[in-house]
Amino acid sequence: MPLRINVCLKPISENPSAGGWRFMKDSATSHGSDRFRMNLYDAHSLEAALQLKARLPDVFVLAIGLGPSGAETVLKRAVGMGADQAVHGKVAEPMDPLSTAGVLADLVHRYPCDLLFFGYMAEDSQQALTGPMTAALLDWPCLTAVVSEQLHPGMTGQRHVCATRELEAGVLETIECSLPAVLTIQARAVQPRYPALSKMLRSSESLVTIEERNMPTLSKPVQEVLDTRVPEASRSMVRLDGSPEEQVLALMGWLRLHHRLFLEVLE
Amino acid sequence: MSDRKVVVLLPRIFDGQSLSISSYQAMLRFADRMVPVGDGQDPIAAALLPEGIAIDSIRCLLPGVRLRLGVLDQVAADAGTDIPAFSLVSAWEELLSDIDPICCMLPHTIDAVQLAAALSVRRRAACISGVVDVEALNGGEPMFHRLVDNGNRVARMAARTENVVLTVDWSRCSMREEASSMSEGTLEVKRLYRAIDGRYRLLDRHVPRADTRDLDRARVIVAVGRGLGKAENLSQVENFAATFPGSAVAGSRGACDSGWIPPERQIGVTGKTVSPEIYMALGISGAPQHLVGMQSSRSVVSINSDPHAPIFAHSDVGIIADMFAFIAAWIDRMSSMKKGNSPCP
Repeated sequence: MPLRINVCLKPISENPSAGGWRFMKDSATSHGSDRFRMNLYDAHSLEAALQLKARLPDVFVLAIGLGPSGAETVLKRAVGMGADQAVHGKVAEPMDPLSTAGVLADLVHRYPCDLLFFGYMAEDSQQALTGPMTAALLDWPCLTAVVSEQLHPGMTGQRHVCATRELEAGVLETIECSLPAVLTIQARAVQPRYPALSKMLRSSESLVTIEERNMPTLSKPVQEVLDTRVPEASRSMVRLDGSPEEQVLALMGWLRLHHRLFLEVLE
Repeated sequence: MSDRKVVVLLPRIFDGQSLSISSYQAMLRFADRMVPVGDGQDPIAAALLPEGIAIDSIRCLLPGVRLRLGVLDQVAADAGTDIPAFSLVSAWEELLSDIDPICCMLPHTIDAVQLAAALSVRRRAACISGVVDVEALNGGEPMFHRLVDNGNRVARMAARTENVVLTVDWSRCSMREEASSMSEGTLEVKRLYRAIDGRYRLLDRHVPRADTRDLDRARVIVAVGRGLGKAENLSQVENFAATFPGSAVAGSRGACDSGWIPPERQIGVTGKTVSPEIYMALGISGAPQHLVGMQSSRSVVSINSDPHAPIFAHSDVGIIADMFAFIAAWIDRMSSMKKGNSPCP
């Protein structure tokens, strides 16, 4: 039996005026024209899965992404990077983390796996909830903020994953748990690979699209974004304009006035 | 929302010693803001204790607080710190089952977010992570503020469920200075029988030991982000830093992940927290995770070519420029002045 890794990828809108697809209440009308890119943390997650595939025999990597038409570009890129197959679940509306987790848990029943990978969080909504919620719905163990992982057989013959997590203040914690399991992958030193042109050209052949009517029924949202705004500044910034030389002089003057720096040079 | 309790959860098992009182008290002060939508009483602080820990030890640490404690029969006194917070979901569910809190609050840490997510699924509650503020007017729907889009926006969110689970980034909350109204402490103790999730086994815990005392002592910290571009550019930044007295070089997570700056010199949630006299952020966008590590600096100077970089909202001085052009001009000027060729600004 191959080891099956499903990697969940969030398509992020490249349209800054729409302010991101998932969480911006006012972006609903712009879905159709959006271009999408792969969430950075998810790219690291896919890279981690592909490295396991390179190290271990018989690993099958499936990329799963939810989003409107246009989001399939992210799934094709995943195939270009080395995923064996990709599934694009079409959903038209932004979803909260629990609804997303519910859909993904349902898709895991359709596409069974031993490991379910997520990026640690989404660049736009930054909630870090969907992975742990999916694990809770599946009743699978979950390890978050993983920076390295290894698979090995346990004493009973069941496979285990041994993952190192990076916590606050640089603390590293290594935890073992049995499979199936959910891992959320932290950004890492190894940069996600570029897609191979040859694989990109054939990516449509490996892409499965699930039309909205065939998608799992969405649960009622449990939370809602009411609005968004520019955050209040925590400090009153003085902006130093001009040429680099003028900016240098202005900063030196500011540092001398407020911190009594460079007095020996300036006086 | 109905008329019920607001509970602050201490996510890790209390071992009788390692309780960060200041952060817990800050959480309780923040929880005070939810009182108008709760039962009108002070928030409850809830903690899990292993067998054999004196209950008075936590009572002494949090005097005057309404405490609700769960004693874990299966956990020995010295084993609590090896149990991950996220394997305690069933224990928390058991401890809270009879009071059915309207709001459970946890600190915004990596483990607590995972615990909050699992707890919210069990409780069929909304889960909002990284809350930095709450608008909870009498009788109105509470609105929770959190940073999104890499810190570029603040979203106001509402729960659509009876209960809500929050992780609160109290380090970014604007706290009221007055003392909490809590005066009469109460204590409820419950023995818990549900099993700890035994699917996890902690193998190792490594606390970084690298010597970074220079960052703690530095008068000026020059930190670089992804804007550095490549490792070869670091020497320019080091030369720039060397023009400041008592300076040290550090980096954002992006710069450290890229291998340009050693990981132990990372500033932010998963790195160090610093508070120098001057923090210079070069090519750093200002993600919330980075700001946590430097926001208590006395002055912040940011240089970034992106005028919309969130770091500018948290800076005393902002310079919109290519950092290398600025550094070149700075070093030229410093050299000229030392030679006595240029007038003072």
